[in-house]
Amino acid sequence: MAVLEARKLTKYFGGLAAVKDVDFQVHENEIFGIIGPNGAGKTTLFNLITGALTPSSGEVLYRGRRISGLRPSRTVKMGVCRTHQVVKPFHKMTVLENVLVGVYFGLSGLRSPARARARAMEILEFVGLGERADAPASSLTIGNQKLLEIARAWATQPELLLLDEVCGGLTPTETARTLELMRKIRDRGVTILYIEHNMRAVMGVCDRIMVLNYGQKIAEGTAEEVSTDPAVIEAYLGKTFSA
Amino acid sequence: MIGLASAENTPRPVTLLLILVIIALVSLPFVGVNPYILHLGFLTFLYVSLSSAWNILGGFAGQVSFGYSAFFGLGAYATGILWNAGVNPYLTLPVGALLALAFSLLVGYPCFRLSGPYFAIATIGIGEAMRVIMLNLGDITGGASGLTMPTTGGFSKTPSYLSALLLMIAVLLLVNYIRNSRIGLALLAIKEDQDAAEALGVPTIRYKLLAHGLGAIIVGIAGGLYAQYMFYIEPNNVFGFNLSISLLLMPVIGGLATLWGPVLGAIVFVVIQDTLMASFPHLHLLTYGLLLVVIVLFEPDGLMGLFGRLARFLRSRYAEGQARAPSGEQSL
Repeated sequence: MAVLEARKLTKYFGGLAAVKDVDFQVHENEIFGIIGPNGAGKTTLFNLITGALTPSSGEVLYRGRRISGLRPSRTVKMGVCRTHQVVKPFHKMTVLENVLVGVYFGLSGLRSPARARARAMEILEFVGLGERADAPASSLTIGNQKLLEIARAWATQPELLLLDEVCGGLTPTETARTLELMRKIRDRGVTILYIEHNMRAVMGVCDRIMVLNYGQKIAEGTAEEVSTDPAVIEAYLGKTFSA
Repeated sequence: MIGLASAENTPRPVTLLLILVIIALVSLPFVGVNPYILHLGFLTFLYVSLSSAWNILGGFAGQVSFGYSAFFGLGAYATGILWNAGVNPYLTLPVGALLALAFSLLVGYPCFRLSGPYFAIATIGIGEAMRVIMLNLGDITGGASGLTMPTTGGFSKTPSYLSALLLMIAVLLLVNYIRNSRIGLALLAIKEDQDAAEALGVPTIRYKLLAHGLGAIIVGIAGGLYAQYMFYIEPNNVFGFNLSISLLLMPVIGGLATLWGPVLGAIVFVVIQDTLMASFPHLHLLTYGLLLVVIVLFEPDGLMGLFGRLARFLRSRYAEGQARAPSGEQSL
């Protein structure tokens, strides 16, 4: 059974179809990428999957159970956690406390403060923020705030991690570090759905990629298949280059 | 930052000092102290409890409510009506607390779907609606002429003083527990970014209801104690908008989301009210207004923030002095 499945997912804003009849399946333990030019409907699709928006029609199933329309705290308890494209750290808390929120309220929901702290520290070491544990979250660089966003989500012990443009605005070094982290998380048995604008990042890390344009799926396959697909080239570069 | 990750609990000397203070406060009525001191003590303990109760939802979770007088009034009237019906006044307190809790859930469930100023506006409406309803339920509440309670128990201030002291201690222990637990962390996360908290698994509506309910229970009990102490209540007073504002002012003045901020705020509040009310009946309102403006503009963390800043300043001066001393020796 697919970990995540979208069936005929559609969202209208007024008369405009931001996402139209999109079908896809994400398989166990793969990194599934969704790309598309600006305005292709990536973020809308992401919001439909995470329940921030309710679909006009169609549905999203997580391991056969419908998750569209559930509150995010409920989906976390089912093993689905997301990050935000615009990072939302708890500024006045320390880096460690940020991660503690995920540890305390995640899938298993640790209650012992000592064990929760140890677990949060472990996670910070895992993502490479161990040295900044006691720093206020607001003092981190954007790159580190994006890492913290992943660390907090990872702290909820998800089985399916939804990453929203975690490499947007990062330097090449930071991008490489983040992609490495994604691979490490996948190696721990997690399935990842990754929406990204940054083509190089997606191509490098994803097992399969779906391409959206004007709200519709125009291609799906491995990085190589997708990047040689005429429809994709046309969508990104215009008609002249597609021949 | 919030004392949770670093497990910095109250140091032992401070705990000892607090125990001594409590012993002194408990023994005060038994050493023949001026009844006026007991009166001030009662008011202070009551206001500290109210201020700390507001701080749970308002300070930690950042949800500003102007409707807490509803809980106070419900507690006060539960005590007044049941006491007049012959129930032991102390047994009326849990009834008032439960009424306030039920009302907080009833109001919170729809209102917590609103956020920011919309929640605050809704609470103003609810508080005022309660006042008007109670004014017009003359058969039950005595309407605008109020409700007088039996005074057969005599006029000793000691029982009320001790009850309020007990309430205050319980409330401070509760807030201290919240502050150091996952509940406090969840509430702070809600204040900082509700969407992010929800996305990390915090059931935000449930936690806001919890904070609201705990506050309501405390304020309901405080209302009951007030009725026991005053022997007289009326809707414009115990359901009044002024009361809701006072509840909010105290923790804001003292410092939100801290244990001691609301305590400081309440003490300042009682002192200002006591010194100014008799001679200049309206000057205390002006003073609160000025304090509020100054605090919002210059020190959003209240008196606690001011003290923290002062302590850091002194420490840095001290450290500077330490650093300069050896270099001075070298130059000689």
